[in-house]
Amino acid sequence: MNDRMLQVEGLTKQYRGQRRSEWIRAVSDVSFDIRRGEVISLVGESGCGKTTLGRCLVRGLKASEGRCMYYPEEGAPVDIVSAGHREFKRVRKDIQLIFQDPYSSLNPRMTVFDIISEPLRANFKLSRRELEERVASIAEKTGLNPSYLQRYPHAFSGGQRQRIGIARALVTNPKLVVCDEAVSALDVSIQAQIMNLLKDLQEQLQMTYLFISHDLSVVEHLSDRVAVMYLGRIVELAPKSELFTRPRHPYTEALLSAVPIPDPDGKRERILLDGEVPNPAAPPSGCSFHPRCSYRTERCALEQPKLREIAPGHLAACHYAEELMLRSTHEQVKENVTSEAG
Amino acid sequence: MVQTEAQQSGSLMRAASPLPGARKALEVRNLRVGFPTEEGMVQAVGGIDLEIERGRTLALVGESGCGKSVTGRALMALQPKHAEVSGEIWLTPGRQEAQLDRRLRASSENGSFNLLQFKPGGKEMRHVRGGLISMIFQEPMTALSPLHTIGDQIMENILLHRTKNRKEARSIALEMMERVGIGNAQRRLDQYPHEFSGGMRQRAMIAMALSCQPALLIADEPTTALDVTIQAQVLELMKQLQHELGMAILFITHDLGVVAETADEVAVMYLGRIVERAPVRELFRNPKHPYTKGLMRSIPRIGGVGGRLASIEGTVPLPLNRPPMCGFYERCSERIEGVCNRQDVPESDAGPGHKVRCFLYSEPEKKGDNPHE
Repeated sequence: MNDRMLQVEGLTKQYRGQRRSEWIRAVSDVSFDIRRGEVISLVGESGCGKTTLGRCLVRGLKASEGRCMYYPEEGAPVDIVSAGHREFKRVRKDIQLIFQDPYSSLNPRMTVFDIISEPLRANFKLSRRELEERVASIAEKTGLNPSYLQRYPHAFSGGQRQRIGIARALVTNPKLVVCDEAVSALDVSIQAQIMNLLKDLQEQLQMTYLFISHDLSVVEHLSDRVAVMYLGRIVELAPKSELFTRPRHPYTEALLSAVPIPDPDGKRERILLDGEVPNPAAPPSGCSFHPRCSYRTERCALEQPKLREIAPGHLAACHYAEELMLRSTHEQVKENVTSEAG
Repeated sequence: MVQTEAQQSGSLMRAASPLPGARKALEVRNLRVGFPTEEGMVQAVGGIDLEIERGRTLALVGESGCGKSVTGRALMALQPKHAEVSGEIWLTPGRQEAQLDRRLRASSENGSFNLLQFKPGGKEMRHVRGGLISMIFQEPMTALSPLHTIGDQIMENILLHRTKNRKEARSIALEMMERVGIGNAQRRLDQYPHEFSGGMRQRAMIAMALSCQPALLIADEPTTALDVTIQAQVLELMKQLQHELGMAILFITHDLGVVAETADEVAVMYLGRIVERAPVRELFRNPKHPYTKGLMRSIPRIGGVGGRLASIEGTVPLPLNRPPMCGFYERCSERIEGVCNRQDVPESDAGPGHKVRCFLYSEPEKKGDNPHE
């Protein structure tokens, strides 16, 4: 069996701008792969293209260029970007999406049973009894009371709705689940419940997650590997512990430093980035991060850095990834925790 | 340290010429906000006490529906018309009386006045709103008018409270824009909100809120809609402006990370009550209430150990026709049956400046006294 589940190569998604000649690259030339059974996260700020990339991978959007090979457990690989309708249908049930907003992603005019069973009806021919059995089993796994299945979404709280969204995504026994900000809209105490649920289900059902989030503490908690995106490109990709202890890209360093730490003694010197994310319709020359980067040189404005391997399994797109000694907040926080314990 | 304190009081003098001795900017006593519905009264805020000193930040933390935003709005008398508000809200503007509006002066007691004695739509409250208390909201796009330029919106407040001269108002607006770090302010003043990015809009909101040097700033989730790097910029800006202008800040948020970085004191709210309040370090080091402890354990931390998060089971109940009992009872892992669900929980001391509302730390009343028996 192939260890690789999804292989993305040179994926680009562009939109026409306000002027016909203008092209906006939401995702540009992204390559990475997803291994079977892992949790890989995409982090970045709004507008960096993480959601667009996620949508391209489930064919919610059609990518403009590039390839995205999906390797099913049986049968030939399928290119999600170029596959025909019938070919794609073969793997459709394997790839599912969990949405961010538990309010707008559920149809208010459908009962919970209809919402959860819809993917089954679309992908399989099942009898009413089989449908009921599958829905009841997934409802139980996701912590929904099966006696509430005939109700409508409005009768449920935010956390319960998110469970409905998760049940709908998992009812087809998918292999790859794209969680697009799946816990961001929830309150902290509910967020913890849903994160635990996602983790338990992943182990139980042996799924692979692509976890899209802007929240680094959530990402650190759940992932095996993390990819950081900036202005449509992956600027760093590394195993979680590597990325948080030894960031190799200045943007990752700044991002880590900007996360508020829930510890009043965890004060640290903060790297404040100047300005904001540039307009993707007119990206800066060279490295797209260079106008905000405190380590920039002349070369950064001229030459675009390639995403390359700095250490085994650790990729970064910075000319100076080897030389820079970037700080991680991880170690600092750890120091605080140990000094408190000692 | 000494130097910064001196700087702070120096700028305070220039800003608002405070009364000597008046330290508390806001004191709230037994504030209740209820919404009558067909099924009964929804008690969104069920009797809370708050205090904020000048130049300090109080964070009001809680999950959605706990009543934190309703509290913030009630302080500005911005609640919906049908809401029932009671209690006392004492505001001490900390200015010389001569700087105050004539009507406010008449009702002041030693430089303070109870805002709830004024009609929500009355002239007095119009003077308080924007002049003495300002608010910044979570969604800068919905809080700003898309039909007016940023400059006009900042100037509106200044023209209401500080000067009648448009030229002067414009120059104050310009100064505020520069102060909150909006570059090219002269040109930006004549732009519309849609031409601003999210972070810049929030800066414009802050400029608007602080243009009349309020005694109290209510910040309702001001950075929740922003990206982390922009959030860091805005939090830094608020800290710096507080240092310069000396206003008190009520920071309403659900994010404990933001609390740890901005607050001096913290009040934790659950189901319309403040269940625990303490100085920020004390609260994070030594949380007492089971809800606070649960919250602290349920947040994922960078650098923390992986594995399962401790979650609080269940969801927040609706504050509708609730008998006097602990609001957290149903979800609490340390609940005492027959005690916590039988009577209202009083606030008890749990250390210097640390108050908690839980029977684990106070003696329940004797059974005989309970009218519900």
